[in-house]
Amino acid sequence: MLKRTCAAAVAGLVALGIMAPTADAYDKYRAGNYADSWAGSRNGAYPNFGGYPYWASDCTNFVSQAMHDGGFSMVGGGSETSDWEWWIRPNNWGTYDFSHSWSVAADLRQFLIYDYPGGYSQGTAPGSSTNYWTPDAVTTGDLLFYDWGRGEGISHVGMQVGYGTDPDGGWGGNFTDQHNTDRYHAFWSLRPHNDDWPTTTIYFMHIAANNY
Amino acid sequence: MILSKRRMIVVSCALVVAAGSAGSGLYLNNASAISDIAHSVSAAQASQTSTVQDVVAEALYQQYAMGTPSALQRARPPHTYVVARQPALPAKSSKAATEQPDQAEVAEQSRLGETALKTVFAHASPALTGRVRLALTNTLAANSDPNGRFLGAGVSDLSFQDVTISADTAIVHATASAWSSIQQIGPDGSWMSATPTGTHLVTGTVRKSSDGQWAIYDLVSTHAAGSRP
Repeated sequence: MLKRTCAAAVAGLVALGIMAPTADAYDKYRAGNYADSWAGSRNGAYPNFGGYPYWASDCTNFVSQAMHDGGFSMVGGGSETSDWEWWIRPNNWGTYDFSHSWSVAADLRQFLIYDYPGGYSQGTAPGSSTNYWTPDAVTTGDLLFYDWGRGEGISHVGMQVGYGTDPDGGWGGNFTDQHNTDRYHAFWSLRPHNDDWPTTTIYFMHIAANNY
Repeated sequence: MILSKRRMIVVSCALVVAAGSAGSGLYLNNASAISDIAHSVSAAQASQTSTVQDVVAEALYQQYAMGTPSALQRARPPHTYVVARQPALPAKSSKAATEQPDQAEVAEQSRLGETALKTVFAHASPALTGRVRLALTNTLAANSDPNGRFLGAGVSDLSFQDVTISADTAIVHATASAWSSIQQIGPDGSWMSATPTGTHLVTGTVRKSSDGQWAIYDLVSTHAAGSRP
């Protein structure tokens, strides 16, 4: 509601000529290229949560990197737990401090909903989906969040990066890049890779182009 | 003196457990009686543990296989499918070998799923019932998906780590390998096969229902590291 109010207020100011429209800043293709480049490996400029026993989960860290490379600026930096913030930085101990929204899928989704312009939910699809295409509003650089439906809630995220053929099995349609089990151009619903597909729900999130 | 005190404590404990287990008082005459009680208590515990494990195994199987051709196959005699076996995949383009199930088969799969919901999951939490219902709905819908085919699903390599029984509740930790066998029709009309498999860390909560039977209450699982989709 707050987000809609902000959007309406900004649109009104732009219409009245009080505020200039902002140039598109989130370059979804640049984000997608980053995801393609690092889908199968790790960028040493960031921490790797993929092998560390506590986290053992690099999916959100990976898409956060791609979003940031695409021009989505970090937000805040004072709170690790607030989903109104999204950031990462090196600390004095040779490791990194970061917000939960940078590293936890459910928190990143919440951040994008809270933030303005942030992202806009584009509905859901079941994990049984074999449709070739995601919804029209979901394009390269947008995010797909996954709830496996086994009681832990949303626990995974990948970035849509185009369409074609999944190199692992040959399924065709829109595809995503992801970490955890690192996948390059995986069929978007992950059905050929997901034994939990009957209970999986996929949440689509379009990232607004006017994030900067 | 210390030894006899210890023995007294052991006897007292055995009496408490045995009395609680058998529901009646007992008199001890000799060491043989103590041994008998210990054995019967141990046997009762093993029996409960086994029952609880069976409850979790059945719930896990139903959660993954209900509404699938595997469930249909298991329901038909002979009842040999304690754990469903993964079928061999048909050739990539052998459409005729694995056509969509007919209406009668889907109706039977639906009936079996509804029966499992009313029996295996009769005392399950609303959250678990909701997840199982979602699985059944999506699985049955997949049977009529013109873009895909559903060949089977199940659980294999079920291994119990521990079972903790406390009064009327048991907590079970297990690992299980879940699999399904599916196909999608490609743009060129050929069928693309996939057999997603994952290892799950399962926590099951089993409760004694009002009729004294152990029944599944909740099942929560996460993918084991290195086993995520």
